[in-house]
Amino acid sequence: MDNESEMKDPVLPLGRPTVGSAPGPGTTGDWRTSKPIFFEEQCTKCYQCWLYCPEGTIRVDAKGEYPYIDYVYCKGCGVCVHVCPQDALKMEKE
Amino acid sequence: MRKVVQTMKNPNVQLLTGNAAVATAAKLARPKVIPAYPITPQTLIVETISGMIARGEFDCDFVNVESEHSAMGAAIGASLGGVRTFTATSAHGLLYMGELVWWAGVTRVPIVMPVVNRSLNPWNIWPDHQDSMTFRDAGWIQFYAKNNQEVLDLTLCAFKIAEHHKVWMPVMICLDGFILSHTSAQVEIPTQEEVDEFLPPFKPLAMLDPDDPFAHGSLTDSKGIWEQRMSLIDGFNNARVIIPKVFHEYYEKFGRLSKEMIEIVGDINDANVAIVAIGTLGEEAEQSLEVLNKRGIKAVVIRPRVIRPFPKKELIAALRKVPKLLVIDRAVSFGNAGQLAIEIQAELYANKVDIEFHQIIRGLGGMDVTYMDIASEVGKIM
Ligand code: SF4
Ligand code: SF4
Repeated sequence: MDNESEMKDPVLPLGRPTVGSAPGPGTTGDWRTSKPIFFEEQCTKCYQCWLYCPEGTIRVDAKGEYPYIDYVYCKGCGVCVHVCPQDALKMEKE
Repeated sequence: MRKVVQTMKNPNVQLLTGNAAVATAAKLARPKVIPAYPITPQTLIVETISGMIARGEFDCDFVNVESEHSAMGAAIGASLGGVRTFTATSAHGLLYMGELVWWAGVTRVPIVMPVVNRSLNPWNIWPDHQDSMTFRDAGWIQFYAKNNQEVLDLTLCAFKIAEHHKVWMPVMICLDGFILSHTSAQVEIPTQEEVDEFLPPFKPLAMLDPDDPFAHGSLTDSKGIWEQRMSLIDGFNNARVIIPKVFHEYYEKFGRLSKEMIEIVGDINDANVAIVAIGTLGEEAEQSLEVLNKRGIKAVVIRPRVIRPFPKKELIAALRKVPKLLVIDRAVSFGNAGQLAIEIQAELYANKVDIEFHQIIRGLGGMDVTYMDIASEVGKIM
């Protein structure tokens, strides 16, 4: 095994993001007791909510579009509501 | 041995402490990020490097972190960001960064980190190997240096070995606190051009990229863990081949280090006893050979300069030639024995080597171990 080309390459622990990769069926939306509601008129498209959502469930399809929330995965943590500078997101009991 | 006297022709020999030798080697290797936190006896490495960076002599980002835990966290992030990364620590600092030392080890992050050996007593700042020995299972390559020149040489080699694409794992260079870190000795310093020829720029195997996102070390099931652990075992087997190759390249270029992972001093073919010790204890044992010779004892010193991967083959080949062996450990695996003794005994048994085995533990918490002490210990078993 002195020949470097015959040596095995390292296996690196790299994971690609996939939709619904949480344990179980992955539908973290089931965890929710309250959900964020989006008010388009107030939104300035600053994308803070997109950046901060720990689940990556706020989507922006293209630059300049409004963000939208994927409720299949939104776990209702309220981070987006907390960071929104425009009060364009509000928490509502399910 | 090449003469290392400073002359008009050879202005590159300087009086350096072990810590200054580390800092000098680090600068020559051109890392791009150094997150580090001071701890005795390593502090002077961090101080020297931050001075070099502040004066504009060293183009590198120094991250002034608030703890060793953050130092290793930042080092992992920087390395994954695609640049050569370096940090340094000692004793309790190493323990505090422990969680992330394991992270870097088992997830293969090629960071180079000197550990300036210091006792792990609640309060004792003097040298023994308990700190780095505690991390010998953490998936890091480990070197132990015998003098300040070897500190510089091994640090430069460490980058090349860590970053080899068939190795790709972190390296710890262990040097005895104070005995090396704070003691000045002659060190021959290679030029920047020579080091640049020896050590090519960092070439990442995987690099964080916002346009092609991946997570590093995320939740992994047992199948994935098995695959990664087996790969790490293969990586260490690859390192057994790559380390001697890099040492040999270094020897060809700079005339120091040999291609061996162990150093043998004395005539192994005519010895009645071998002494095995690492770090400065190994060099001290070399000094005892003359005294022993005068007492009619033909001794030889076998000093592993690499402990991970454990140089089994080389040690067994050497130990087959001697009838008696004294292993001196500077650390203890409590409830068993010195780590070196335990590991060497296992190899002797596995390879059916017929040898009279002796072990002692010395030098804990900075206890002075002189060549006369070593000579008298050898005398007791003859
Ligand atoms: S509530 Fe939490 S999970 Fe749901 S969209 Fe807002 S930040 Fe994301
Ligand atoms: S943080 Fe508020 S204002 Fe900014 S994009 Fe999200 S919803 Fe709109």
